[in-house]
Amino acid sequence: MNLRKIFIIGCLVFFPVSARAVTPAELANQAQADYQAGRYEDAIRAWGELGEIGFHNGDLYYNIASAYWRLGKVGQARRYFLGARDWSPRDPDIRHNLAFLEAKVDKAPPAEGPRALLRKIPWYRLSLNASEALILTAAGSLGLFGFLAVHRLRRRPAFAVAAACCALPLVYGLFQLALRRPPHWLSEPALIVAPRVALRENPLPDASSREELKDGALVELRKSQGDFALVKSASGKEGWVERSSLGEIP
Amino acid sequence: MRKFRLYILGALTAAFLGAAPEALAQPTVRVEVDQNTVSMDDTLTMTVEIRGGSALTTPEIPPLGNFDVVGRSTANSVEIVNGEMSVSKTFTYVLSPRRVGDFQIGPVKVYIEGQEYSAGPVRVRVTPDGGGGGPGYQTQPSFPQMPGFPSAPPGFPQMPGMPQPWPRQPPQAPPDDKAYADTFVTAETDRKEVYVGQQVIFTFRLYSSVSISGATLSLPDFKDFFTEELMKERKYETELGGRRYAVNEWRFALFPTKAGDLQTGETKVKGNVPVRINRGPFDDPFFQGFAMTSKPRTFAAASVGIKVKELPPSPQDFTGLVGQFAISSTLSKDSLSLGETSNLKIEVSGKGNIREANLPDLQNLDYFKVYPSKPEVKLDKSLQGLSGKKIFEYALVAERPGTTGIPAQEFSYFNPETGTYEKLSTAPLTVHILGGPSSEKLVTAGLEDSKAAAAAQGPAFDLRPLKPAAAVLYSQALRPWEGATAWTLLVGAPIGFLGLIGWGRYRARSLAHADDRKRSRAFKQAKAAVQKLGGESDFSKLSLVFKQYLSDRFLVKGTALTPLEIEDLLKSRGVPIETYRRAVYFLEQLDMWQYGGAADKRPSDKMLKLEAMDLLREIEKAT
Repeated sequence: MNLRKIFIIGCLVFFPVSARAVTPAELANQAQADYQAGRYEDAIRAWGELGEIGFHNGDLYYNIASAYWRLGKVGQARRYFLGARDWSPRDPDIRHNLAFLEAKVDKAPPAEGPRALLRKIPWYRLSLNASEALILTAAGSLGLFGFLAVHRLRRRPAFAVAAACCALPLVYGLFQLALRRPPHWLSEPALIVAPRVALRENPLPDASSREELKDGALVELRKSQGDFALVKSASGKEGWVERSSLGEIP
Repeated sequence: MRKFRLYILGALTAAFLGAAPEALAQPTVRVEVDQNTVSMDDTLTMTVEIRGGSALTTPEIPPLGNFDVVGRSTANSVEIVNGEMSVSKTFTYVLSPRRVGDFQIGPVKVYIEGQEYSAGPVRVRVTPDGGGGGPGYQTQPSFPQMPGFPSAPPGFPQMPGMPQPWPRQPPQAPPDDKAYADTFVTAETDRKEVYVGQQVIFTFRLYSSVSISGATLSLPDFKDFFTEELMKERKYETELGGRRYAVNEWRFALFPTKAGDLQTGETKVKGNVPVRINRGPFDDPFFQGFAMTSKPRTFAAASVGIKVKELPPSPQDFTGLVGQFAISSTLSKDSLSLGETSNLKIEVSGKGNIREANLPDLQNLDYFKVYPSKPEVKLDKSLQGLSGKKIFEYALVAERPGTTGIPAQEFSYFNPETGTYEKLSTAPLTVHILGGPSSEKLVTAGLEDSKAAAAAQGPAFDLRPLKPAAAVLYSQALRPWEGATAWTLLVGAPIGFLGLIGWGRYRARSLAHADDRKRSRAFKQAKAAVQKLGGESDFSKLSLVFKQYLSDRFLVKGTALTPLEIEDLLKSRGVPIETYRRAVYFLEQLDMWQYGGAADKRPSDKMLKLEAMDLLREIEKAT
């Protein structure tokens, strides 16, 4: 018996054990346990695997963001909280944690006057994520144009009224869709996910620095070139940062 | 929380079915009256409270020979204090005295699970005078000066606006026949001397032996009092000085806001009262029913004076609450995991202005993040005054594992009965928080002031708890086919609509130009049809082609044209005479060759086709 046969037999014997599939529920429980035990990186890895097998939701990103926050990775935490907010825009926990984190990162003074009052109104309760907005828009479109078509054929005012009623969800869905998925040529937000990143004048490692960007700072991605990306910082300065220090919102 | 709700539901069910009396506290019975001295024209309220019985338990009231029961009510309540439940049932009787004297009511007996419980008796003194009232009562009847205002005759018909029937009160000893007019008002308070913030019950009554319509009450502004209306309007009947009066009664709870000799202010009531018209020689009792009219009158009760004393120097935790109160606290969960919430409910209840009850902020709760709710006030208004409860609720989110206590919450109130400040205190509670020993530490690495922020915020972790494991096992992303369907509908619906519009327009345009097309295509089609004909001398087909051409060219319906019709048609369209005669002759020849048996005399097929084409061209040219 040569070595090749031994290898094949070994694979056949051990394969069922080594390839035993872990169910998503087990993975989720494992991640939770890792988190509770303080093994945040393991927890992030397990939740990441859930994301890879198709579980995309705000709660998952919320948990990943919380674990990153515990690790002190503010940029990653903010990135995943933003992703979580995009998926679950009506979740008050996500809003609370993101506001808490942004207060720490941006250190923005609290708004005053009418703007502060407006911010107290929970508009976010009416928000939709991209999937919901797309479904609402499609339904509104079908209703609006369907009723308009019937009205054109039958000439009954009731169909015109129904069409007008369907226009509202269509417009609102389009508005929400534009909020969640802004066209890339308009704006592509990204985050700094490394502790201190230099905003360089040229896409070279030794190019002079224009500004130092903190972990978690929001930037606008313009274009990529090799290992560098051209971004615009919150202060309005444009420059190059290393691609590896940049994270896009999931 | 769900468990707690289930517990309450179960307890209520048990209480109302009387199926779980063992879960209840030791039964007690209490009987009390609102005043021990009552005048003949007043009423007495007796309250029997049974704690610990079932919903079916009723008291056994001894015969009340000296009183009439003019009103009764029942109230049930279930209280859960520190995890112990108690059910109480309150029976309230409004008693009207029948005669003057010292009487005894009770004892009242209650049978619970075959065991007898009793309470009382209570002693009551009934005084004869209408203005006396109970001890401390100040009654100021105000008799309006109404010159020429005669008494209404017995059996005077009821005027509109006076509801009937009213509860009747038994006849009372006539104090002084002349002392009572047809209509008068009284204003009184249950106390003459009180402390700032203490409850005073102000009662205004309108007595009328005649019917008053459109009565409207005009209250004083009570500027030195905080006021709460105890009831809208109470109506009953009573007898004074041998006359029957309808009584309209209003009651208010007054809380003096400052010390000194305060006045309630004048209370007025306006209404239309009947008056008799002097009819000269016809002024006879026989005509009285026909000689009445109504006039507006105003009856005013004089202001009532109340001496209000300052409160003695107060302790620091006094918030202005004056009366008799109790406090209780409950916790929805005494064992919870990190991140879970337990609700702490503190209830202050009693008699007095319960709105003034305020708790100090919760202190020393290092293990929790505290979210207070807006306090809820539940008022209970009755003839005896204002009482109620104020409920303070706090959501406690566990942030650190371990066993901790919620310390007793304390504050002071002033009891005017004893003239001293008394302290209310909840029982301390213990809570067990499960979770890893140091899993919730605050991590703020990467932030410049992380340590300072952590120190400033204490051990509390400001991120909200993790989502449960099962909560992440779903996807909010659309499946490819769902996304494709949604985009197809989104884009396809307007495209389909635009297509419908285009098709409609095309169709409309086609219909509008169909005749032109028909006319323009007539010659071409006829030419093609003639050339297509075979050589079998098919005269009918050639005739049909010819007539079809005429039909299309001149938009005539059908092809069954007679030679005469063809002649008229061509003539009317300006075809030269030789052409249309030739055409008619050609068609007649075709018919003759087909039906007349002269087929052997016909020209060749080629000649026929040439003749037909020549005719078609000439007609086409001419039109």
